[in-house]
Amino acid sequence: MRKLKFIILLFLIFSLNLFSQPDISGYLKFLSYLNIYGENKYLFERNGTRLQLKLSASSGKASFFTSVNIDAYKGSKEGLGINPVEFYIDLNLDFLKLRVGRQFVFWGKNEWNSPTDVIIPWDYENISSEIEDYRIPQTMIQGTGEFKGVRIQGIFNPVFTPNVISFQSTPFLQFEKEELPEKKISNSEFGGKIAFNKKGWDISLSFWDGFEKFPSIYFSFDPLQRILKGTPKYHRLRMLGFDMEKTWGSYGLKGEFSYNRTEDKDGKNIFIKNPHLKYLFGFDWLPTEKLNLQIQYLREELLKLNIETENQEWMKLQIPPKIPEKVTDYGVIITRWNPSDFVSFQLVNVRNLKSKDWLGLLLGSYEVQDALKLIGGLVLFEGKKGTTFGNLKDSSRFFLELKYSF
Amino acid sequence: MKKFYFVLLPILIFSFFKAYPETGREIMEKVVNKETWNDMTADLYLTIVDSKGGKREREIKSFMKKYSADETKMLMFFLKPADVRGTSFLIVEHKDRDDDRYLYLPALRRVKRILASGKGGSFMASDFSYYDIGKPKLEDFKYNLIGEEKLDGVPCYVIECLPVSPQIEKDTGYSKIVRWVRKDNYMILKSDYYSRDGKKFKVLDVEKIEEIQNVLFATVMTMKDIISNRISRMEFRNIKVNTGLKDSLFSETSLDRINIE
Repeated sequence: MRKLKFIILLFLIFSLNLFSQPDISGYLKFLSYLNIYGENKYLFERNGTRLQLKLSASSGKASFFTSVNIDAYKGSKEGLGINPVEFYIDLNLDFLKLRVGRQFVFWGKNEWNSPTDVIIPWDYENISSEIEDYRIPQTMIQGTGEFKGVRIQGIFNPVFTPNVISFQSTPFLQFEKEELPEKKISNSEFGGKIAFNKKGWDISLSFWDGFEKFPSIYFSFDPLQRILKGTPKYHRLRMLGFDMEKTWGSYGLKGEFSYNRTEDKDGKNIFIKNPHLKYLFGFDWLPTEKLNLQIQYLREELLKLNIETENQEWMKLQIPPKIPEKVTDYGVIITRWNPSDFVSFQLVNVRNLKSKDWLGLLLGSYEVQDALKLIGGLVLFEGKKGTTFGNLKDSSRFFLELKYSF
Repeated sequence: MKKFYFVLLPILIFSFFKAYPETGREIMEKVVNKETWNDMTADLYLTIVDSKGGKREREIKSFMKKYSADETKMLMFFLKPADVRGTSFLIVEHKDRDDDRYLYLPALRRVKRILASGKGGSFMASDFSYYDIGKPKLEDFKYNLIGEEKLDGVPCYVIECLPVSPQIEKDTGYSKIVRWVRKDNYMILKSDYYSRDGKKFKVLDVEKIEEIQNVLFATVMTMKDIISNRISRMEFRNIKVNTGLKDSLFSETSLDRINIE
């Protein structure tokens, strides 16, 4: 991290000399995040202040942007920290835009459950009102060109970063340190996307060769300690994606599809996730200018899953079988309501339709005056232990923020 | 005698057409089609003053390019207030189908294709709607010339504009618009807007008209909501026309550009 901060400092000094008339903006906010469930050691997950500074400038066809968070917190996330968010240089040529540096790139048409959104990892322990808290920007090279209405994008990410999730050990299961891929060029990630508009449909085709953001857990039984051990490891993933979207006045339709080829090509490795398909259908409706409703259905289907073979493999290891579901269905509801020009509410609910675990986010915002906002919210994870959202229950919290942008 | 008729006939025909007043539709065609620019750049300052005197300010940099009479692309970068800085909006108008609208939200770092609730939606929480700031489509309304009046001493046609269908009425939010059009240059000086229940609720006053590179622009206008007693003032500055804006600017790729010059 120190190395990264040093690089950013050098980058800033270099940039300020190279570019003229830098533009400084950002925000200052006071925040309070209250843990909802009593198992947490702290009543407040965090209480404190954040100053975000954004610096941008341009010179001819080149421009740069950087943003840094200076956080001072009390609570379970305590201390004073300088946390870089983004820093990149853009080169804008007539037919090509090149962006180099720490940045966000989101693929897909949806914010919360996009089958083709495979580039930027999530921090599931830090869901808040700011995207830079729960998505982790990557240091990448991105090139985008446009030729006769067809947009072609190429991305190269030299170092893989996984999702942030908690591995909670129990008296019967002990998690070992996660094993990340070695930092070498053959372990880099890369991909491309072609996007175009055909008869009002926005269509894109994408390809990504990277790593699974969720780990494969390698289980073993330690007979001396009489405990089950789990080691998180990350494996290569190749994704082929397709998405499309069209609007008709106040109605919209969107569809997304991805084929994900994991390292368990024939479905025989019980630890690595099988190759799988993900598809999503979404419907958007704006009944009035103040209300937006979105309903989405997402299905994930494991391919080459042979339950009998899986059972046998687990038996050989003398470990109770952990057979994944062949099909997992999710329902997503997103509602945005602006009762007045300066008040807005947002409700997001993502639910596993079979195991019934869910994530809920309720966000309310009131613009007290220009650039001054009062934001209140609730993030709730519910479900049985062992389910995706049930495991995150302790990250549920209520939050309140007063944010001044400048 | 024959010679006399040959001279008289054209004079009579000319006099007939000269005396015959233009129809409401013909006047509005001149209003809409008089513009002679292909592309335009402008800085837009929007001030909203509520009934208690509370003031909110917005600042936008806008770029427009015409591809045909009914096909225009418009790109807007929001500069103020600070919390929306970095937001940008691309509208692609089509002749034969609904507009495509794309919004880049820096808070989400994403370009989103957005739905249109009709053109009656408020533009940046002001009293101007998207219909008010866009180029009106002639076919959306039928036009009646209901009189001629002087407005601040300037002779004007008074045109009543009625939506051609209930759908247009719903989309624009207007059951009627009455416009005062200057006779000499076909610029709109004033408009009264009637809500769907038939009540007059908004009044537009054009305060300043400027000629920039032989094109007339309404550069300062105020929209007053006479029910809520709120006023929105829109001012265009630094207008430049026909600078040769490139097609590549009006693309999704431009929406997250750091600095647009």
